[in-house]
Amino acid sequence: MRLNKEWTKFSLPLFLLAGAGFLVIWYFVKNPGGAMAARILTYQHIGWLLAQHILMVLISSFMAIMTAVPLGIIVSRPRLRVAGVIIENTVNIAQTVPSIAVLALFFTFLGLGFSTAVFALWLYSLLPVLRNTYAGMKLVPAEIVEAAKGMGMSPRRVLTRIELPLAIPVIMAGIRTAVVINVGTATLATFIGAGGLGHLIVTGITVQRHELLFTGSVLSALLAIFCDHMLGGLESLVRPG
Amino acid sequence: MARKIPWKLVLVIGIVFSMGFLAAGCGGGSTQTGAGQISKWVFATDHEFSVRPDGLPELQKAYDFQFDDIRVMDLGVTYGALKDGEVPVAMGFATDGRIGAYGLVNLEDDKHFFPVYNPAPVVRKEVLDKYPELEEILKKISSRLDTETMIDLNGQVDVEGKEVTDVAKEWLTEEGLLSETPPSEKKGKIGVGSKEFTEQLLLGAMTVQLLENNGFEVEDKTGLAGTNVVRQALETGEIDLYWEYTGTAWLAHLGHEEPITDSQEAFQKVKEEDLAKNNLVWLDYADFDNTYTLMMRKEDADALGIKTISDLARVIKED
Amino acid sequence: MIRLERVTKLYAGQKNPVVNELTLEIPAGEVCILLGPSGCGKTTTLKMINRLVAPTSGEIYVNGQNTREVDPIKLRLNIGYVIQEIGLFPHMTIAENIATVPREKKWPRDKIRACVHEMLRLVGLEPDLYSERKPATLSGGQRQRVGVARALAADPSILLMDEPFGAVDPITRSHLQNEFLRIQEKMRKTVVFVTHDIDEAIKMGDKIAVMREGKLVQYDSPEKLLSAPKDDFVEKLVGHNRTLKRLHLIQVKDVLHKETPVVKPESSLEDVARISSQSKIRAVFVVDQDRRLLGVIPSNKLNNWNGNEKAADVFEPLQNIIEAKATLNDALSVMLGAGEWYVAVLNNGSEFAGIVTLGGLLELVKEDAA
Repeated sequence: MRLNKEWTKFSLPLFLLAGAGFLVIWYFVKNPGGAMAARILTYQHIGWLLAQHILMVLISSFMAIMTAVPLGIIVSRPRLRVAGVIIENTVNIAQTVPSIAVLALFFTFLGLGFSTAVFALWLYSLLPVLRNTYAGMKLVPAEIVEAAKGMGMSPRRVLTRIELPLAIPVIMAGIRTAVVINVGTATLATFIGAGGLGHLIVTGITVQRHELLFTGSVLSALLAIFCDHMLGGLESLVRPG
Repeated sequence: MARKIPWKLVLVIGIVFSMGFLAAGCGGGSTQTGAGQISKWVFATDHEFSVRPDGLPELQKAYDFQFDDIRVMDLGVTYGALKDGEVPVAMGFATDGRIGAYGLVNLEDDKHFFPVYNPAPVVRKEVLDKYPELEEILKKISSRLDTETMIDLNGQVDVEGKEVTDVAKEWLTEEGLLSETPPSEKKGKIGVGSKEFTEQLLLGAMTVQLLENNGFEVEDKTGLAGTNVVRQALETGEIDLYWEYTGTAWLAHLGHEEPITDSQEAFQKVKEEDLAKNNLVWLDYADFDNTYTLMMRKEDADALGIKTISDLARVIKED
Repeated sequence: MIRLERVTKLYAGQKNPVVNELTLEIPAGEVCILLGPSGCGKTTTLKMINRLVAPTSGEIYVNGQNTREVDPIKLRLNIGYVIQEIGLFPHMTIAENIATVPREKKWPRDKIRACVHEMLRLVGLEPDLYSERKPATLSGGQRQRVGVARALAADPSILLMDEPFGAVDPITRSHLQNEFLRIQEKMRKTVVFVTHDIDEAIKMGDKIAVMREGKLVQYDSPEKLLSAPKDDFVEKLVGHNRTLKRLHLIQVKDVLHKETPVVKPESSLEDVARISSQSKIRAVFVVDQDRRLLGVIPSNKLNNWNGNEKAADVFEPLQNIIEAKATLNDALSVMLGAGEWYVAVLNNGSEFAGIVTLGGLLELVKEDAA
C-alpha cells in the first residue's frame, strides 16, 4: 500500500510530463504556422530528433558516470590528496569553458556528427559528476570512517559499506546536474550535424519560425525535467535512509 | 538492507567502455573511399537552407532529383565536412575563401535556380554628380573581379590569415590600378562604407585605396555591422558609397518577395527602382555572384564529370 | 591483557612526540582510565593499541601477541571500539550498526540476529522497538548505548573507549556510566577508557593512568590517586575537594542503613506505627512478598489516618530511588534533587535493598576526614 503510494508519487509526474510533450508535438504538427515549418514539424521527424537527443544524452551521461565516479573516488583517497586538489581546481576552471567551445574544439579533431557530439557531451558532463563524487567522499565525517576502520573493516569494505553509501546523495546531485546540463547542451549538437532537438531551435531562429523554436525548446525543457525526476526516483532507491 | 553492488566490476566496465568510446570518437567516419567512389549521396546544409522555400526543397524539385540523406549543421561547418569526406556534396556561399583553399568546386547553377547576388558600388546621386569620374574609377575594380578571383582573395584573408588591407593593396598593384604618381591636387571628401564580413571588407579596402590613389580624401567607414546599418548610413548621407548585392537590395531594401535569378535583369530592376525611389545610383556590377552554391570535392567532381547541378542530379539518379 | 613497552609516537613534521616512551600494563578484566588534559597523547595511545595509529617505536602486546605481527584488520575485529555517539553509521539501522563486526566476521545470519537482540537487551533497549530505527531517531544517550552494544557484539575480550560518554548531558552520562559498570561486572572485559573528566575516571576506573605531554605521570588505583597524588600536576588535576570526589568511589550498596523498617501492604496501621516507633528512621517502607518496593509511609503522616486502614491504602509513591551500583555521589545528587533526607536503593531494578540517609553520608565523610 505504501509502496503503491510512492510509486504513484514517482510515476504520475512522469506521465504528466510525457503527456505535456505529446500535447506540444500534437499541437504544432496540427498548427505548424506555414509550409516552411510544416516540412520539419511531422511526427516522424520530431520523433527522430527526440530519439537522437535522448540517445546522445543517455550515452554521454552513462559514460560520464562510468568514468567520473571511479575517478572521483580514486582522487578522494587520502594519499592522492594533491591530485584531488589539482583535479578539483582543473575541473572548476574547465567548467567555465562554454559548451559550444568544447563542441567546436572537438569538431576540429574528431570531425562532425553524432559521435563527436556524444564525446563532447561526455567530456562536459564528466566535470560535475567528478566534482560531486570528490566532494561527496570528502564530506563523509572522518569520525565515522575512523570508527569503521577501528572496528576492523578493510579499506575496501569501508569504501563500499560506509563512504559510498554516505556520499551517494552528493554524487547523485552531481549526476542530476550533469544530465540536466547535458539535455540543454545537446541542443548545440545540431551545429555539427548531430541532430537532436537543437535542429528545431536553430532552424526556428534562422528562419524566424517561432513554432519550431517553441517546439524544440519546450521539448528539451520537458526532457530535462523528466530526466531529473527519473534520477530523483533512482536516488531515493539507492539513498541510505 | 545491504545491496550487493559489484563495485570492482562496475569500475572495470566503466573504464573499458570509456576507453573504447574514446577510441571510437577519435576514429571519425567517412562516406567515401576513393575519388568518385560515393556510396551514399549525403548533403550537408545549414538549417536555413534546409527549409527555405528557395532552398533545398525547391532546388531538388527544380532539378528533379533527391539526395539520399541530408545532414543539417552550422553554415561554417559544411565546408570542413565536405573537405574531410564526411559528405560528398555540401551547400555554401559561392565566393567563400575555403572553396579554393580546401580544393572544392562550385557546381554551376545551370537552371538559374538561385537568386543572384552580384555586388555593385551604390553611390548617392549628388556625390556622383559632383564627381562623375567615380564611375570610371570603380569600374576598374568591378570589371576585374570574377568568382575565382574573389574566392582566392577571400581565402587569403580567411584561410591564410593575411590582413584585408594588404590583400587589397596587393591585388590593386598586381592589376596595375595604382599609379606611381598620384595626382597632387586634392579632390573632395568621400565616405566609403562596407558590411563586416571578409568580402565586403576587401571591396571596401580596394575602394578606399583606389580612391585615395586618385586624389580623393577618403573617410574610411568600412566594417559597419549589418546590411541595414550600412544602407541607412548611405541613405542619411553618413557615407557616400558602398558595395551592395543586387539580390539583397531587391529582397531586403526594396522589399520584393520574388527573387530574380538573372544577373542582368536583377541589376536593371534594382538600378531603376533605387534611383527613382532613393536617389541612389548603381554603378556597373562585378561578375561574381555571392549566392548559395552547391559544392563538391574537385577530385570527385572531375572523376564523375560533374560540372553543373544538372550533372549532379543525373549522376545521383543513375546511382 | 595489554602491555605497552616504551611506545613512542612522533608524527612527521612535528618536533615533540605525542606519546613518549610510554610503558603501561593493563591487567585482564580491569578498567584502565587514560586521564589527562587534551593533547596529552591519551587518544593516540588508545589508537595505537588497535593500530589505527602505528607506533614510531616500542612494542604493544595484546593478549600476549605483538600487534606488529598481527594483521591489523584481524586485530581490530577482536577489539571492541567505542567513540562518541557520532561514530554510529547514520545510513544503517541500529541492528545493522550492532551487527557490523559479526558481519565482518561472516557469522551466519541467525547468529547475528540473536546477537543483535542480546546486545540491545544488554544495554537496555527493547529490540523490537529499536532494531529497525536509524541512529538519527534516537536520543544521545540511546545512541551511546548502541555504540557500546556495537563494540560488544562479537564478544571481544578487550574494549577501547574514547571519551564514549563525552557528548551527553550529565544526568544521562551518570546513567550510562552506572549501566556500563553493571555490564562490566558481568563481562569482565579488559577496558581502556580515555577521558579528561576526573569524576568519570574515579568512578569508572580500576586503575587510572595520568598522562601529561605524552608521558605517564602516575598509574595507580583511584584511591591512591586521591590520597597520594604524586606531584602538583596530579594534585591539580584531581582538584581540591578530594573528599567529595571520594564519594565517587563508594557504591551505595556498601553503606546501606542497617535496619530499615519494612512492612507488608496488608499490615494494619497499628503495626506500622509500632514498627516505626522502634526505628530511628522516620519512615516505613512498604514491600510485597518479593521485596519489591511499593511505596513509603512517612512517620509524621501516621496521625492523619483514623487507624482502620491497611498499609496498602496509605503509602505514597517514591521518586528518590537509586540502583545499588550507583555511587554515593549519585545518591547525594538524587537526595539534593528530590529535597529528601534519604534515597531508596534497589537491587536489579526492583528488589528493595535498603536506604542511604544524608546522616549516614555525613558520618562517612567525617570518618574520612579524621
